Amino acid sequence: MRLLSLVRWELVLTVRGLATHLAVTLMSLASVGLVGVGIFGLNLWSPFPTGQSIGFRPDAAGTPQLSSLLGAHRGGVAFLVLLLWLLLVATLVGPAFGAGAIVRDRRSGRLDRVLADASRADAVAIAKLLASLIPLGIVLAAGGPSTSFAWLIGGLATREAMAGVAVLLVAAVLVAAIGLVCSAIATTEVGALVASYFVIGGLFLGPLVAGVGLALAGSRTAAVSVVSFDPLVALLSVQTSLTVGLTRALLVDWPNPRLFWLVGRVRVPVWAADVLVYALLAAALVWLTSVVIEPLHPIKTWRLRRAQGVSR
Amino acid sequence: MSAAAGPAIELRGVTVRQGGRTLLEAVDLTLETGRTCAVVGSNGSGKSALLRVVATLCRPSAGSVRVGGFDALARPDQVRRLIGYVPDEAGLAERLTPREHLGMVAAQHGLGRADRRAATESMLELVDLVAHDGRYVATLSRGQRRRLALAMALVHDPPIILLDEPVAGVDDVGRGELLSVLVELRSMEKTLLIASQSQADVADVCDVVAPLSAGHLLPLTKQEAAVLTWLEVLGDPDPAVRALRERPGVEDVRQDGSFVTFQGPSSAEERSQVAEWLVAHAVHLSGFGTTTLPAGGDHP
Repeated sequence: MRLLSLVRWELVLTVRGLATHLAVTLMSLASVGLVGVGIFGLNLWSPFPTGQSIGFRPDAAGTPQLSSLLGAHRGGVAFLVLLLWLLLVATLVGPAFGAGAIVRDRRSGRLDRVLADASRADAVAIAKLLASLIPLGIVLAAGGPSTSFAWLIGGLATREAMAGVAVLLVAAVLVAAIGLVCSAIATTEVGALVASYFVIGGLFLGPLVAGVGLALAGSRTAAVSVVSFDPLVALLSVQTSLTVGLTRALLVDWPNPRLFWLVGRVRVPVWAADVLVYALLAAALVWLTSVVIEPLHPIKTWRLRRAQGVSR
Repeated sequence: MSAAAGPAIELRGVTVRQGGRTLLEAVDLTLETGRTCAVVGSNGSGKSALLRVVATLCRPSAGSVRVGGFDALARPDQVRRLIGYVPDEAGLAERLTPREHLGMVAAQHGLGRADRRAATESMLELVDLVAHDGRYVATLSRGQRRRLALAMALVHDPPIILLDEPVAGVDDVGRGELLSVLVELRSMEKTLLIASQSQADVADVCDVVAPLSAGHLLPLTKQEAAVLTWLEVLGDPDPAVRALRERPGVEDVRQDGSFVTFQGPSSAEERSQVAEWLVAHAVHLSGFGTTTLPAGGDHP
């Protein structure tokens, strides 16, 4: 009940802010523009042989391998590109919504006020996360219809599309949680924003760089496993045949990508495992935020309490 | 909302160090239930840190803090239910109205819908913000914001109220309105801990003054409102002035036209004896009375 009240007022504040409306408007315009550019581009250049109808799946024998692959998976490729666009938007906009939240409140004295009003720090952290996720969700929803373009040129399996959306949404939650924890730790909004982008950059590029490093060091199996945790790879891996095809076409010496984790006898798709890992990571970051903003968190006071012989 | 037995606020050896600076050094403070204490000191003396420690918003480096009988380190959640805190920075959201602020705080303290509405209405009336209840905080004056912050601290009817610079930057009218609310709270037996740069600002509402200097709390002094006795003399007031200046126990005798004022006698009986003594010395009085002089203040 108290959490809902906090969330309600945080949302009211967010919705009354100019940033949300501005971001949604820009996102809608950008998505419409992106689809327009895509359709216009198809008129200028197409990976499909001249004269073929747009629903045609070309024969790989007469075309270069990559073009053939892209042509065969044109719907999936378009969907992937649009999801990557939405993920890029989430990584840019998410921290902007979340990074200032706690820094601003701390500076204005509102954080003290909210905590003193019998609010639990974890409830405050969750409310702040939701307050930054809702406008982010609206922004993504404003850009979402642009993905229908993928079905205009052939589409992809519903299961693959759902998995891709799941990866996108959970990655967006993780991005927002990163913005939140940076906001709790940093002393300025700019500092929080820079730190957020730095951490998110590490999240997106770190597994790829580490994977390349491991591969160069000869640990190819470890490299494949590490790379599979990258959000970009997770987004790609929902379309298994496209993933395998792209790896073979672009990375000739690279081992086959990991598509499943074996948990006992159960084969868990990489994207599903990544969704779980990102969700757990986001939850851990929210908890960390609550530790940072609560002045008398048991972790911070245990030494003093032990010295006084006070048990919690 | 019930507090455990013991003093309302009890600090023992509280030290606060932050960023290499010592904000508070081995502070001991005991404030009994229903009393009002003003922590007075200049900028940077540690007043806000002291209030924040009591409000469970600042972790002490050493020492113990008990509020309403609860150990603040072990049970900050319990302590927060007992206190109403008015920070120096009001901590208001610019794009919420006073009514929304009060409703939010009431909900945080677990008040039901009907209780929330009733508490919100009564607080808006108490701090005279009914006419502004639908305006965004961004459009309110500083005095109105301070009054709203006070209302937010009171909405759940806490027994202990912490006020950081409650009248700082507020004009005379706003100051009078705020102080009248504090006087009313005092009459309701609330425990008030007030941080202020100026003793005169809060003299009318406090029982004890705790001077704070560079993080060190100096011995507490009892705050008693001085009583000023005034006389209106018929004829020449000089004999009355001379007689009063010679009388033991009478201090600070002053004359302004036909009026003579003095301090000293602490009880009504003693003041009556002084008046009778003057009449016995052939001083003709046309008026006689007393007024309360703000502590730390001067003659009007």
